[in-house]
Amino acid sequence: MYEEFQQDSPMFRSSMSQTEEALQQINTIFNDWISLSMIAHNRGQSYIDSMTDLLKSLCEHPSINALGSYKTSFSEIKEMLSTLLACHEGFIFSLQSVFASSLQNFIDTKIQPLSQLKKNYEKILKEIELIKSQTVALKKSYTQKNPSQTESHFIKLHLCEKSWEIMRYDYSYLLSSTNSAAQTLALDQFLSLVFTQWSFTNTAIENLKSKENVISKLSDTIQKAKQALVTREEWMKKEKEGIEMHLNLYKKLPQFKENKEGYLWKQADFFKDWKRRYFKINESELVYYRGQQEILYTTLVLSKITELIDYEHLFAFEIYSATTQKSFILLAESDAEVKEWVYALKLASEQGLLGYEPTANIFCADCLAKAGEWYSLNLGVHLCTTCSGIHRSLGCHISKVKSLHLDNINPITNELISELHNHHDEIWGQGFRPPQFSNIEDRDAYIRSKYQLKSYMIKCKNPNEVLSQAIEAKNVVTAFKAILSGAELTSSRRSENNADIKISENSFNFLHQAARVGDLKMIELLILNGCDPEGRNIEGFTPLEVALISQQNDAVNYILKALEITPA
Amino acid sequence: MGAKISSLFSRFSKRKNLRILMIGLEGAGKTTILYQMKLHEHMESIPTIGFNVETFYYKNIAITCWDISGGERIRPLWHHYFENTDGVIFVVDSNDRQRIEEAKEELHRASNDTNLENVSFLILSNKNDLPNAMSNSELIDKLDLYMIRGKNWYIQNSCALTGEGLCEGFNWLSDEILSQIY
Repeated sequence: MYEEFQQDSPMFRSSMSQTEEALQQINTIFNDWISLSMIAHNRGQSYIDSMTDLLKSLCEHPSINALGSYKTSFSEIKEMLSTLLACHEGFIFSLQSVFASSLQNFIDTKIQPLSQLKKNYEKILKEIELIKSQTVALKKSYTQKNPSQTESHFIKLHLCEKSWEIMRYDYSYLLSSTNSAAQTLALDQFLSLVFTQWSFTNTAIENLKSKENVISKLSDTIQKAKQALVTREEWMKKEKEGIEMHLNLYKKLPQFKENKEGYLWKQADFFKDWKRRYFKINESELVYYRGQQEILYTTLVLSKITELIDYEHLFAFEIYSATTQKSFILLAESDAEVKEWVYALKLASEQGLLGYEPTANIFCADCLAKAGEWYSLNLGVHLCTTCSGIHRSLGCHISKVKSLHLDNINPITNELISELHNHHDEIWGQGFRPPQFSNIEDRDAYIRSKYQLKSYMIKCKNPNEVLSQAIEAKNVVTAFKAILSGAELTSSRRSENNADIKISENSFNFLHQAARVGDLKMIELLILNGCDPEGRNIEGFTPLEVALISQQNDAVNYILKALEITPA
Repeated sequence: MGAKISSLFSRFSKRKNLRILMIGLEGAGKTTILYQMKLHEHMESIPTIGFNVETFYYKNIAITCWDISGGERIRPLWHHYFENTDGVIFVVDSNDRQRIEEAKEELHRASNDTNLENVSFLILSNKNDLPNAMSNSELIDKLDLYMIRGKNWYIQNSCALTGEGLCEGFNWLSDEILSQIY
């Protein structure tokens, strides 16, 4: 028994160490699993991150509208991956906390009592050794001295051995049971965990496989969209170049010349096909060349030249001749060419009609265009063609529009108008002048407020005094300003009609004053603005008589002319 | 009876092309009337240099209306346009009392032209909406319309801005021309 006991103790120790080793192994495996699952978790995380990045990039893609249907599938994939990640996290959490705590519990409950048992066992072992040594000593002494006592000692020893044996069995049973229990527990938990993870990964992989088609389709469509974008960009580039070319065609500024010559496309008489010929304006005739031969195309007198804006997208213009009552359509090679030709032809036809030289140095008072070929007789301003159209629409009681070329103009009237025109800003005020090429509505509003309402004008006080002073000083501009401010011009006539001396005393006989001074422009201005050239002053003289008395021969001639023109 | 039916038939069967001349002093409203008849809306016009020609359909009749500039120096050239004219419209600015004398001279010069014998004259007293406008009787007196011999004339109030009175005038003129043809 004793030998057995001696032999047993290392066995017990080895079993103890085996349990500890098993526990350590479990620990290492557990750690490995944790690290592996951590790696799996990280991979899942990165996968999800990359997927979200892809989704974001798709969202930023311009053709996302076309890919709207794929967005939902992507969100499904994302949800699935996020659930997978959550499962992994839960798994790792369970491994880290639950399993660890349970293992700790196990260790606390089962292993710590073992160490006490170990201590007890070692105590017992010491006791046994002590007893052994005692027994050896006792054996020697008792065999010699007291054999009876040895027997009791042996009995004691035997009891001791017995109790130890029982204890050892208990211990070994306890150890073996704890060892196996711990192993089975760990294995069970591991198995369950592995199974759950296996199932999770399996389902995730299956889901991913089911979505693989969608993803491949998506990538294909993205590829296609990219290609389409590239082709579209190229197309846009070409389009832009085309538009720029077209714009350049229109951008070229026309340079207006009087005698224009160049190539035009004309329609043949019989077959109506287009032919390119060299055309030339030859003194109110349009001629073209066939070889060296010069052929008359049409006369320009009594003809109307219009630019055809929408003639099959070609740069065309039309000449309508009144003498033959035919229209000719000619094609030029650019927009600027058309404008140049129309300008030159119009000039030629007008010159043929009227025989005048163009005057380009007069500005329009209302839009500052460099073409003041029209004038308003009673407002004293030069106008361009468009503004004169607006002036005419106001009615002849506001503005009497005349043309420098189409109407005959008295040289003194011309001088008067040009002097008044040079000071038109001073007389009428500037206001908010619309620019040169503004539309008719803006110009109409401006002209109405300027001339009809006189809203920009600064009126002078005591207009009658100012007018008489201006007549003395021969200042037409101030005189006109005074007339506009409301000087009483018609008072002299009223005095005659009413035969009332009171009014005639107060009346201002401006025309008589002007006749005395002998200022022709002033006389013209006063007659234009309604002074009666036959009115009599207080002394009973007409302006003609006043001029005769003060020996102003030019004024006499002029008033005589005016009397011929205006009916008696 | 048969002649009447045939004339009616021919009247509906093909469109006549009438050449009508529109003259008058500058600024009387000729171009505005032309575009009012063509487009049925008011168009801001610019002074005409030379002429404007528009063809429009009025009661199944194609009317080619020539609107000739009324500038002082263009007026002697009016007779170039008088040939083959079916009707003349003389536009008067009824608001312009100062130049009515001038208008009268031009009207009588045109009516005495040999090319315009037996041509009906429609006198449109335009700008009749303005408060200071002359009445028809006053215009007849001032223009000496009774001195026009050997041709039919008619005076019609109008306002080119709204198109008032234009249809009545064209009605009279087209009826007159067609009754002369058939």
